[in-house]
Amino acid sequence: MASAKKNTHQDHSAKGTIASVSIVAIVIVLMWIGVFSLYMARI
Amino acid sequence: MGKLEETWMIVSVSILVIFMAIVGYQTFALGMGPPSNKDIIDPQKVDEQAPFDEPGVFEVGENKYEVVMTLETFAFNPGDIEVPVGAEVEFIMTSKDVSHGIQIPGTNLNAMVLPGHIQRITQVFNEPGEYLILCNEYCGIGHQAMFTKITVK
Repeated sequence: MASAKKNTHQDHSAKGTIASVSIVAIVIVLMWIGVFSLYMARI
Repeated sequence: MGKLEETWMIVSVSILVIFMAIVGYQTFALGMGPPSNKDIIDPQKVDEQAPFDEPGVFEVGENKYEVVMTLETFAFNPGDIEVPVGAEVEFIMTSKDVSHGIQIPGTNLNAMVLPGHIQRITQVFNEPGEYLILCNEYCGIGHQAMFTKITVK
């Protein structure tokens, strides 16, 4: 039973998940770069 | 763990480490950390203690200026400040009553000024003009009238 559960989990595709976390990552990185550039422009 | 899970774990940890490395380098190597001066002062005797017994703008070196400033409801003392373009200006500030803030929009100068604490911030003004200095910490009924200006020329 336990191994059957594990196999089910492995069978799920993670493509949708990586697409959504990648979008979140891009938003975070762009915001960080934006704030950083604003700070450096005002030095 | 799946291959894709490994990928996003590595990417997210790398993003965090890179951000921390850049900010850490700025703070510790370039001295760009947030204002965190540790000196303290008796807030009831600000007027009697140097340097706050004589607030004003002082030239302390080649192209270096010090602004010794006291904040109180609802004013900055000295009021109108004038410094040359490109000068390094260090603001040394304390509050005589409640918590105040100082912010100069368009620059990175932004900090709290608390009673009992001496705050120091250095700023270089590279563009000539008039800059607004304002209190950004609610300090009482006249808070919105607590502002002055600094002229850079």
